[in-house]
Amino acid sequence: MGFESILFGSAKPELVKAEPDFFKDLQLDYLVEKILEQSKGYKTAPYFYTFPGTAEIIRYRQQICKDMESEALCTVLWSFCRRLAESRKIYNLSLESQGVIAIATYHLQAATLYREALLKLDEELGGISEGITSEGLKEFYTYIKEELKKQEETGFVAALNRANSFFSELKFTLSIDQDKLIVSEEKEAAKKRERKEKKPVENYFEELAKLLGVEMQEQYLAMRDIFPEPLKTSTLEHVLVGILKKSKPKVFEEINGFKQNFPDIYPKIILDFEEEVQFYLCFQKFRTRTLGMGYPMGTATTSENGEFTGREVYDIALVWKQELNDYEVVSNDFSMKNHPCFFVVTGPNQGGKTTFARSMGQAVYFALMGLPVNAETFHMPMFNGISTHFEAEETLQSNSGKLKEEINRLIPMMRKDSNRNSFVVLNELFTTATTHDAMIMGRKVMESFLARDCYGIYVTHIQELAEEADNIISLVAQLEPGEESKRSYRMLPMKAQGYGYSDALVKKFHLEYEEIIRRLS
Amino acid sequence: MEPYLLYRDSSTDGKKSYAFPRDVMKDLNLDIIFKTMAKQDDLIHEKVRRVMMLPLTTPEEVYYRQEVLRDLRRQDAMLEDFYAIAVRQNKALKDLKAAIKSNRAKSTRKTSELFECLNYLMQGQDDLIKIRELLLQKKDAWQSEGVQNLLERLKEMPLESIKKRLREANSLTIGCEAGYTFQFGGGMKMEKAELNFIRPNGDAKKNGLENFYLTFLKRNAILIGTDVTLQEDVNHLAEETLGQIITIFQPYLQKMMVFYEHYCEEISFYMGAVQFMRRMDELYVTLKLPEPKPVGSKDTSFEQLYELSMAVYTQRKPVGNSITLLNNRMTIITGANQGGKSTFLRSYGIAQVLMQCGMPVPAGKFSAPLYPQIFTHFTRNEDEHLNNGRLSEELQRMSNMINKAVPNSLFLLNESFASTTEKEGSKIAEGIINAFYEKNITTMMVTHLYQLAKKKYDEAKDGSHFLVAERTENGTRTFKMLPGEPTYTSFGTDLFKVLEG
Repeated sequence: MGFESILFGSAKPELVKAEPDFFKDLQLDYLVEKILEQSKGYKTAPYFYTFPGTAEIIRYRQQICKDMESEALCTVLWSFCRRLAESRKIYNLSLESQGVIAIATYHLQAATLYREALLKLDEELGGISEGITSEGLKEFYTYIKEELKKQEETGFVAALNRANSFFSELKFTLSIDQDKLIVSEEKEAAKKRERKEKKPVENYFEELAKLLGVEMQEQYLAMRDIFPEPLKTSTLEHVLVGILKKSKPKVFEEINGFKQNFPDIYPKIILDFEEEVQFYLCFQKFRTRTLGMGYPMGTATTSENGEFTGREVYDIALVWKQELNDYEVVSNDFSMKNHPCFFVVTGPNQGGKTTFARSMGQAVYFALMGLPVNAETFHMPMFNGISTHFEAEETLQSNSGKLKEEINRLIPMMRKDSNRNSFVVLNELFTTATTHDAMIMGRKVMESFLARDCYGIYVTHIQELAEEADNIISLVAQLEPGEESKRSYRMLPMKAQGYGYSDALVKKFHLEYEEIIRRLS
Repeated sequence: MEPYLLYRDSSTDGKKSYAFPRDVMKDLNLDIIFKTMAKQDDLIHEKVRRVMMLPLTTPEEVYYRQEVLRDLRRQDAMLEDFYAIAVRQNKALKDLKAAIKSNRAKSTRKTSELFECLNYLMQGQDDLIKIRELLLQKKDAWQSEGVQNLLERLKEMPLESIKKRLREANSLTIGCEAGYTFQFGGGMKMEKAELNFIRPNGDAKKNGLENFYLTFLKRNAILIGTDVTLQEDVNHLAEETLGQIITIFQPYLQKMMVFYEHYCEEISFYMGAVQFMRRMDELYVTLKLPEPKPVGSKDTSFEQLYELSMAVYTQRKPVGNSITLLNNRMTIITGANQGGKSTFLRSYGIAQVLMQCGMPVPAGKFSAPLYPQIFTHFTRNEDEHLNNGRLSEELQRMSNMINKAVPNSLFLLNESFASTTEKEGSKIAEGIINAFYEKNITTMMVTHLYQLAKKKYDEAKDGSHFLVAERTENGTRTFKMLPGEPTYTSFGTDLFKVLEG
């Protein structure tokens, strides 16, 4: 079985085109946007919407991500994509051009660039092949070697070289006097040069750079793209091509011949690779920057016995949003030994409950994508998917309407048989119902998910929901010890206490019962 | 390409200034000196203000500048010519920067920017040649390393060849013949063009090179004639060529801009220094080039040192002081009110600043260490501070200065911490000056804090000196500082008596 896809091995699923429902709640929409900032001109987003689905492909990707930690490898792949894109750009010009010769020359140029891109890739991968250990990249490297060989065998390389040697003959000198152009061909010039035994023409730009003692740069030696519009021929170009056509008809025939014999240049596997590899390259940049901000991004591991634990899990969206603010995002550890299992998180408002829930959801997502996760370590059962339910932020509906809307969103999540073994993030359900009703409904929702082997985290202000059971663990958002108006954003497993922000304020302003008695005494 | 007239191998770029230049200028009353130097020329005023606030910190640096100053003082008529170039180039530089800035928004940006750059280059190149010619006129008169080296560097540069290339570039816009080598690329677009020659119209045809092109005249000549689009394309090609030439000139242009930026600053400084010396001559004020000692040395001595800003202001030569302070680590000056203590401290500070920028000082003789930093902490009598806010302002200022202080710095304190009681003030001040003494920072302090002064006098630490403003028996002040024991009273009562009549 040869190389097929760097993202999916040989089992390519149907791509999901639209953003999944849980994206916004977990702020993955923001994160994917940040990740894809690096990738202009590729349709990479759907790859982030589509779960690979099997543990096998997750491992396949994790191996590739490990390889990608090598900066050298990333550089090689980035430049391959850049070269390929450049070739494709020229190829597209050949499709859009009008004249036969314009089409043929663009085609030739695109083919030349493509061949160069492959050769360069082969050479550069060869230099770092010891660092490539993933199955996917190894197979890809083999595929490139085969492809290069195939180009030789089919006569593509020979035809390309022949056409190019003719093409390079289209070189001539032009002298502009006040009202006339004088064209002379380079071949004649060369003859002249031999006869006179001295260099008849100098490169003015090069001499000037030498005279000025400036450091020589390639771009100094010649002007490029004088008439930059690729699809428009200037009068001057038109006139000059006219002269050349007459004097060198054979050259034009040869170039056109190449186009006729090799009309297609790129295999689909290569084009797919160029697009799919963006997924890894962009993510690696994203990861490097996150590490640079001082946060870990480890590789997730799959647990066979249902155990679910994480160390230093943090909200990576918050990290990125606070990048410039010198703000340290708090990370948390968690552990679920029983399975399946729900966390119920209570504690003061603004205490980091939702942030923590979101950070778990993000890590589950990245782990299911086969990518490094926003945690130091992350040990997770193989979930089927992710479901989230966050309070709708703004709504014009009346309270009863809002409750209905919430329930309507919950129903599909709770439908039997679907959604087995998912990871569920619930954030403040039923806030418009009475506490008693909300408690009963909330417990039912949790029980329903647990019955279908789902794991989850439930953020709520209702302490009663946090009453511990075999498969319910109560987590409480902590305050800074000693400074009770300050939150520490840490979640610790403990009995829910009903200890909120207002309590802290009461204390700060000395309004507790004892304090008021003392002050009034 | 650098003038290097202020430092042997660098410009003022990146040089460390006094940490609080505004305090130094204000407390030492330097503005009067700047004005004397500038003679109402804004360029000189701006530049001397900057250069003088960048202290030299080795004797070699000071001597380098003193020598250049001596050369230019001797050839001061030529210095005027150099300065005229500085003024012209300062304006050209400003114009170019403004043009580039204003062009940024326009669609014609590229074209007009090319012309601005080309014009600047041509003008600048002419002036480089002119500077070299002026220097050559007196080539045997230059004794300073700075001027000699500048001449040598200019002589080594191919100034005329570069000028010729600029003229050719200019001819692209006004008429010339040009030869190119082209290569076609994909889409049969002109991919690469090398330029072979430019011959401005009117220049005689050279041999071989152009003849080589002319031999093909009959075979492939195309008349541009009335073909407007072809003419446009040809013009476009000429403009692209100019663009390419200017691109290659960019590093040279940047260097030239830097050269003239530095040149303006350096020549303006010397022009200011020379104008200052001329004015002092008119006032019969003696100026002497001082003898700088390395950082870390402490011996200080001077003869007939007087306060310059007062000399300029009153147009009279004030009283001079002659004092030797061996191993000067702490000098405390006490004595009569209106006795010239502050004036003395200021005269010392001014001389120190003048020496550390390579200028002559108002004294018969002046020898002192160089200090990497000089701080002035003078009492401020501004009304805006109420008394209780004043101490905190003073302490804040001192704290800021201590943040910036380095070993072997110099602190000039004038009536610091007088805004609180003597007891408190003494305590605060003592902590500070003791720390300075420990940390090898020299303090020169004018104070009314008798308890402090007396205590320090009794301790008689190594390198501590005590000066008292002289007061004769009948209460007359001579404005002279003499070594002696701090006095208990500042004789403010003398003044009070005078007021009582």
